[in-house]
Amino acid sequence: MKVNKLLAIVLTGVLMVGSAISVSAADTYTLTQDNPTGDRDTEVTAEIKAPGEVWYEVAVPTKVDFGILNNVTGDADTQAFDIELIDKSASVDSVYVAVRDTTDADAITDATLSTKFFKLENETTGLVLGYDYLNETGASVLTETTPEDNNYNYYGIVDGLTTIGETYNCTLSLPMSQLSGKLTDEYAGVYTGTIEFYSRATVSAP
Amino acid sequence: MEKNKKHKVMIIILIAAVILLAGALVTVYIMSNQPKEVTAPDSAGVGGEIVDNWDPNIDNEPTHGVDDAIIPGYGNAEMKAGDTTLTLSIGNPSENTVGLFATLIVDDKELYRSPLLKPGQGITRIPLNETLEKGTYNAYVLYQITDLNNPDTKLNSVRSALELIVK
Repeated sequence: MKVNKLLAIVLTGVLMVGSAISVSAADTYTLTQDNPTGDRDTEVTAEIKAPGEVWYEVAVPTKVDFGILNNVTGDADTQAFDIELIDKSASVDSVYVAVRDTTDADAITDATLSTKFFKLENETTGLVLGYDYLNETGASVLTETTPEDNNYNYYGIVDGLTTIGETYNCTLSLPMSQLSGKLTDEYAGVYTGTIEFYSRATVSAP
Repeated sequence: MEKNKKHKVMIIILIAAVILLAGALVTVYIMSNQPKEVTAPDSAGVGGEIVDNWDPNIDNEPTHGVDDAIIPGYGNAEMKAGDTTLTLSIGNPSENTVGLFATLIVDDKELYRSPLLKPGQGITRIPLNETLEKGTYNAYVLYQITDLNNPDTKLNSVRSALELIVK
């Protein structure tokens, strides 16, 4: 009788522990939307990003430096740079990149320039030079594209970067006509400006 | 005699049960030490906390130039009306050699400004300085690039657009 009782207790304990083990054994690998059967050999073939996560990365130049300007006989001094799509998730069809118009039209008084130019300023004298962005075909973004309708006056450089590693070559052009006859102490100095880029992802409709 | 036989049978059953239990325990131990699938990092950190191991969770190796900066971009973000924290992964990719300041702008209002983010630093739970009502907003993370040796020096910047959905 005592042995029967002991046996009953031990078997009950084995059954309880066995149930706990079978429950915990079920979660040793993760069941996901792409792996509904729990088969560990199933590969995830698409990465869909959740809200709030990083969906893509672009590489832009940290600064632009025209260096020492001394070629007053040429048409324009140019500086090339690339915009590169470093990464993108499957959620993203393409990435649009633009630059912001920071022109202060009143500050650019040179009659050889159009009224809309991007600005470089001499912080010591306050004198201003204007420069333009040229796209890969050599056309000015200010004349070829319309501003983004977001009150920030962005002009498109790249309609859509679609492939990881894809680059778009841009050129900054500083018309030297602004300096013709003006290389005096008055205009000597360092002219600085900053570029504000704008990036936006285009995603497929669900 | 019969009683002894009964006892022997019961003891055999008991020993068998113990062996089965031991086998099950060993099996579970082996299976629990198998490598598990990697899941997305938990973004539910402390609100406002800057971490030193921020990961944009994108796997490709960058091939950018040394004078370039890698800037994160977004699709959308979601939050509940009245919440004071937004889950949004803002950070400075570890491959950069510049500093970044990040500002969250919603409908032209600045809702958050980060301290200087060095390469590898970021934040995933953004404390907002005001709440938002239900709706869909045009939002931006304005990344200001700076010289790490002189953070007051402003270089180029990037305004990463996203759609903010408040439910």
